[in-house]
Amino acid sequence: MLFNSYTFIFFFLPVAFLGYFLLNYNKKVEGAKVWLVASSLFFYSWWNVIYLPLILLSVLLNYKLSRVLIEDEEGSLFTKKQYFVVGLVLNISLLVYFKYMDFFITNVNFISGENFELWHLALPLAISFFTLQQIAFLVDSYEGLVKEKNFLDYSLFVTFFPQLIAGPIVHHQEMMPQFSRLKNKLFNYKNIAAGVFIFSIGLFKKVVIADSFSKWVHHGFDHSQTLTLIEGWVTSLAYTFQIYFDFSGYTDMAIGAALLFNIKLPQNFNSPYKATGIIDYWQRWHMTLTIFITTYVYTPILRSFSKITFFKAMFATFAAMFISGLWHGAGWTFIVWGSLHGFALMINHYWHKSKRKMSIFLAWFITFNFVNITGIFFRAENLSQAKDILQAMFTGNIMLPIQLESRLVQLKTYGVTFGSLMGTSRDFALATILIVISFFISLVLKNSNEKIEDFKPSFLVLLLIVPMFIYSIYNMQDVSEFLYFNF
Amino acid sequence: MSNIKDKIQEIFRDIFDEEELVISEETTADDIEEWDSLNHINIISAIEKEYKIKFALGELQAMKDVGEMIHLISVKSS
Amino acid sequence: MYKRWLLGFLLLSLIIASIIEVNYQLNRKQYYRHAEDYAVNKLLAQQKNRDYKTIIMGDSVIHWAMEGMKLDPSVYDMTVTGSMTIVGQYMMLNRYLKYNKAPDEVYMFFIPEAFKEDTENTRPRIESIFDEEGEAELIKKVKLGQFSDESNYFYDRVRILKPWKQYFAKGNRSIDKSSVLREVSRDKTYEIVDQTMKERHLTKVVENTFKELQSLCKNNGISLILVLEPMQYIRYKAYENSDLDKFFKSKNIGIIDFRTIYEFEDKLFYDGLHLNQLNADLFMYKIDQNITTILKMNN
Repeated sequence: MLFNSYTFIFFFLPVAFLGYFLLNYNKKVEGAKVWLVASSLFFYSWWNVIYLPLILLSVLLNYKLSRVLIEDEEGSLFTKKQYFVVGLVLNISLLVYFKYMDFFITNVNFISGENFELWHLALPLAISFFTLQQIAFLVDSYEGLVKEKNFLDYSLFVTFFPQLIAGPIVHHQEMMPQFSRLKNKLFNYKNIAAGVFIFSIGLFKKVVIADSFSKWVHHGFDHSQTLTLIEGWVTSLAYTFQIYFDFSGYTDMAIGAALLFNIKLPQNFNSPYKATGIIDYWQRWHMTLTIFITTYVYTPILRSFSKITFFKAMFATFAAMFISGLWHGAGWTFIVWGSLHGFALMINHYWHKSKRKMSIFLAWFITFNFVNITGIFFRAENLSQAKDILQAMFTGNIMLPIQLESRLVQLKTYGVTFGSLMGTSRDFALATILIVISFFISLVLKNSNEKIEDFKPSFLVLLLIVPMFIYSIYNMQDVSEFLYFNF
Repeated sequence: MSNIKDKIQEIFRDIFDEEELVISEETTADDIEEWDSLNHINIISAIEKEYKIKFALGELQAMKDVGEMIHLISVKSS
Repeated sequence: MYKRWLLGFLLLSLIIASIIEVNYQLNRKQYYRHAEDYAVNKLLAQQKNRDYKTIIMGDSVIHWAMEGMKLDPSVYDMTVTGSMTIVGQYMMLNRYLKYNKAPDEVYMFFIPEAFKEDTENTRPRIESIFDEEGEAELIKKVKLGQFSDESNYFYDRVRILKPWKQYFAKGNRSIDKSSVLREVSRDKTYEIVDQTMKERHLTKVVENTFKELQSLCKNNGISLILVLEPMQYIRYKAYENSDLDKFFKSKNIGIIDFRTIYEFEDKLFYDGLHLNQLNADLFMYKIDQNITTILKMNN
């Protein structure tokens, strides 16, 4: 089920909400949790019920393993460390199996010249996310930071629907204490209002802004080989903003939905396009993923060396970013994307170390353009499509809107042509306007997390939020793409 | 408690190469620009060596806050 | 404080939703009409007690290509300025025959897109143009759907709220036959072909309508001649072996392919669909005053 669907907003969310608090009100605390887990699994299965057994298996296995890791070691067949390693291997193998087998086979075919058949396994929904979340939990259990002895609580931790499909990636200690707090079992008007507020903002970002860009992005990438220079830039900027509003909008909806249940999820975005360096960028974009990669990938790699040097830290940075790229998708475009970001991080670290200074504007300019350009690799279906777009952006023919033809006809002698960009003049005009508006929103306005801190239940806010909400509802087509869904 | 803070301050001054640096219990990674993931590991390693303690991976994120850092150190070294 | 805000949220939402609903109910008929449909109604109102031997029907492509042409007095140009699907054409002919003498023959120019079911073909639109007694039953008879697949409760209501979309629609439809030989962009062609390819499947509505059209002509002693309009080669290629093409062949319906009379240069369809000035002049030259002779020769 998607957050931006009629079923979710008008049926699922109200019913789940009412059931949870009704049960809690009648002192059926366990029942309320069961209700929430069952609802979350229903939410998960809505897309395709075939995925359900897999997530149940994953939850059960990880729970059993964590129980072993938190008990005393005496009397067991294997050491804790062995169980821990098995747990990690199982989780990663599950992910690799469903996500990367076809990529692996394709490359084997390419190298060996054979033609092994691809398995075409359907990627279970959210597997990349709940795998990471449970890996973090296993590590925490192994290191003695968390002891979860209740299967219901553990299931709730993994399946809680607001964060199940696409994060934020939550730590056990961040979320479960909130569930056990007694006052959170009564519904709280302040949280509900704040939840509705931020959910509406997220819905608008996704349905109105991101989905508008979607059409032009599709057009640009589908016609990648014949794009002109301006069209190349419009396409890449449209995607850069699409993915921001899509993902941060979805996260806002997740945070809003969770607030209805008195649960505060961790922040995932902090105005990433205001970043003035690539290190800064990753501390603002998909923050919970950065924390995960830094804590559970970067740090262990670095600490495995006996002596930490700058060079080794750069190696660890690159390796961590490479893995992050691969986690995002099974394809060479993701590997290139991850590697480019890895290099950029190394350069940024070196710049910091050398204590050189740069103007803020130049730093912003370089960072934004880097993110915009590497975003092309993230979206492209293959490397040659990415190359086409880049070629258009930097060496493409210059075509100007046909409306300017009469006034700038002398430019034709320089090889400038005139025509309808992005398919029709209307599309070009709308795309450009929306890009300008997006720059304004992402660079000037406060982001949704800042807005929710300032949230006041005033009439003015109502006048702004309700039209946004209504407009989103009426513009929701039940079929829309959610870019991070294939994770 | 204050001598843990002073010790940490010394470590910070060494790693960030700033002799005049002053930190308080409210200082976090957001306050110091050079306090990124690399320097964070350096700080952690230095503290681990100084107090002969070990931090779990899951504790590292919380340590981006000096107050939390002091708390964890005092718990682990007692 | 928060409780009141939430109640306000609910109340304001309901108020706005009601306003949108009222606006929709008041404007839906007009909305679904294209700007040119008013012209159709005007045209239909003027058609009383006429008597022609030959009638030419078709959409804006043919209308603008034939503009300014002097026709033989026995030939009537009943082409429309907008787009008219087969259902609309059927209803138009039906209305004409109610008040006028039946012609001997009707040349119906068509593009493959006229034989599809989509938002152009919605019942509200057709109902709003053809609202005389008995016409609603005819529309029901061919089982014309209420809405296309894409729309839903919310989408229909919000479409009407967007007056700027109407503005752009008007803008697109006004045909600028400037004397400049404008050449069509490659991408525009692909867009139109993409559209054609997507809607290639023949539906029950189209089959029903066509059957009704055939019996209407038979009952009135009219010879119905379908003519495939001039179009770009790539669109013509998309038509070949499509569902529609196979449908005509299976029913042994002979159509005149205008390509056999003259092949217009692709780039001179200035927006991918309409003939620019040069092509239009050629079209008129080919048709000449003896449209029936020319067309019969190629039958």
